[in-house]
Amino acid sequence: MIKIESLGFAYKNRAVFEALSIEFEPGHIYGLLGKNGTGKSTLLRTMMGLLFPDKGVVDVFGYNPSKRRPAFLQDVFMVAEEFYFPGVSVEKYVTCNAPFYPAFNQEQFWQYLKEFEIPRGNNLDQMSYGQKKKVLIAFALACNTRLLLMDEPTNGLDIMSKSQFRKVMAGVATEDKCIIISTHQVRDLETLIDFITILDNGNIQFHHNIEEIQRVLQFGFSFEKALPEDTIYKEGALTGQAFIRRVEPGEDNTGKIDLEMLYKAVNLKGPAINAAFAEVN
Amino acid sequence: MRRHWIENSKFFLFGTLSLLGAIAISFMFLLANGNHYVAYSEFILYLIGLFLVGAIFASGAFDALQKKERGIAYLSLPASHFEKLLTHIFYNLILFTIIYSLCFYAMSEIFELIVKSRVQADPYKYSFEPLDWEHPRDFMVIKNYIIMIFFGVQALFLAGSIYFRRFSFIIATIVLVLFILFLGYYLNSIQHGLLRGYYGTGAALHSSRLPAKIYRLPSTLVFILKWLMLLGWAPLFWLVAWFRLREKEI
Repeated sequence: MIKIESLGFAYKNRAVFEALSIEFEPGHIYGLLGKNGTGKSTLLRTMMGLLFPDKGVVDVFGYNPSKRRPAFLQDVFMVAEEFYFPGVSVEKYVTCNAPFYPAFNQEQFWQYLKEFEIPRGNNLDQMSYGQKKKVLIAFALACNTRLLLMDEPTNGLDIMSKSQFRKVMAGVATEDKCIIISTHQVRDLETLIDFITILDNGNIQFHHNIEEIQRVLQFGFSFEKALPEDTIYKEGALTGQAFIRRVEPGEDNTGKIDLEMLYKAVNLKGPAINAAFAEVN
Repeated sequence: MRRHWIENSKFFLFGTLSLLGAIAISFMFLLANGNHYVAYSEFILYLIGLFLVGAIFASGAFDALQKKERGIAYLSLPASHFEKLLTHIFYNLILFTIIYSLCFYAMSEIFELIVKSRVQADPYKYSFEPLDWEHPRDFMVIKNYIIMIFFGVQALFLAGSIYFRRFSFIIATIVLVLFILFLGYYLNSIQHGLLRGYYGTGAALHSSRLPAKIYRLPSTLVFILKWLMLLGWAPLFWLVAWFRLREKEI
């Protein structure tokens, strides 16, 4: 569905991607993680057709995003970290923007707004950043595009709103939809994401789904000093040590995945993590 | 186009009010400038305002692309680059010209009412000279050409607003001035080259007193070149704007 091959991209004085290759399939919610400046937003904007690759191929549903054809743009939506709303009411905004998206569902939109507790008649320029973001997310979801790109969607949302966001998002993942969420707030999305992609220095450092991760890695906590022999990564806590160990063949592992720890493990013990996945696959 | 109207209606409303205010102030200067009122001054004022305000308005056409958040929303909108450009051409050229002309007409009617009442009250002190289309003065003769040039200038500033990230109005003005200077120099040098040693002596190319052989371009070619020079600039700059819009990255 989304195929990126040997993508090369550089800003004026800084190369971001040399030869990035990755595929995204429908039916998944991808969590795109990575340090600042590793190219997460650049990757999203390239997929959206807002940045053009210097080399390589970006194919989204058979379209070249750089052409920005209306048929392509009708089927993708990006919730950018920095976004713009005109000074009109929510109703007016919907009236003039919804017709651009053939699959837009008004009922869904008002339902999402209700769940986000946004008053219907309010003017967009009188809303707070968090409220505006919720309107944008509701609009993005109601567009029912096959590809939904979200750049730091939980930034600026309060605790209650984050919970509302998770609830709403959990209901929109369908077989034909591909949702890619770039974030630093891994804890906000832990229960949503079913595929983890970690970028580092413009390269894919990690790209596995939750089942695969559970098959290979176990996340545990020990109150003892001694840790299992096959521990790949550990970090100290007040009462003991959190660790990640390799799951033995045939061993049953249904434990919860700690995304933040996984992210740190991939960054600090990348070769060991990758070796564990290579062995199993 | 509807979306552009709804999202910018406040801006257009305040813009129209400011325009009315600016025209009113200009007319006040005309009223304060002596007791003999000439409608031809209004005509000149109309043209100056049309070019100046039009250029300023066109310079802001692609303002959305100067800011990341607005640019993302604009470029992600499911419409072709041609449709987006067409919307700006409609608003900047057609709608602006209509609104500006209506505002100017309304203010000039008020101005003339004031002037005429002054003349009526004291015909020895005040006088009014209306526009005489039977005996048009210089700019009135070439008004159609001026309107065509206005299209070209508007299109230049529209292309400038997308081409230059910052100070598009100033840069487009510099480009326009340089172009006019170059055109003046070029025409002057042609004349200079043809007249050679007689340049500046008052000699003409086709003196009626001397035998002359006149070479002319075919009339069809003259017709095409003339209208291309008059009407070709606007489509050329729109094309430039379209290409730039297609390759715009945010």
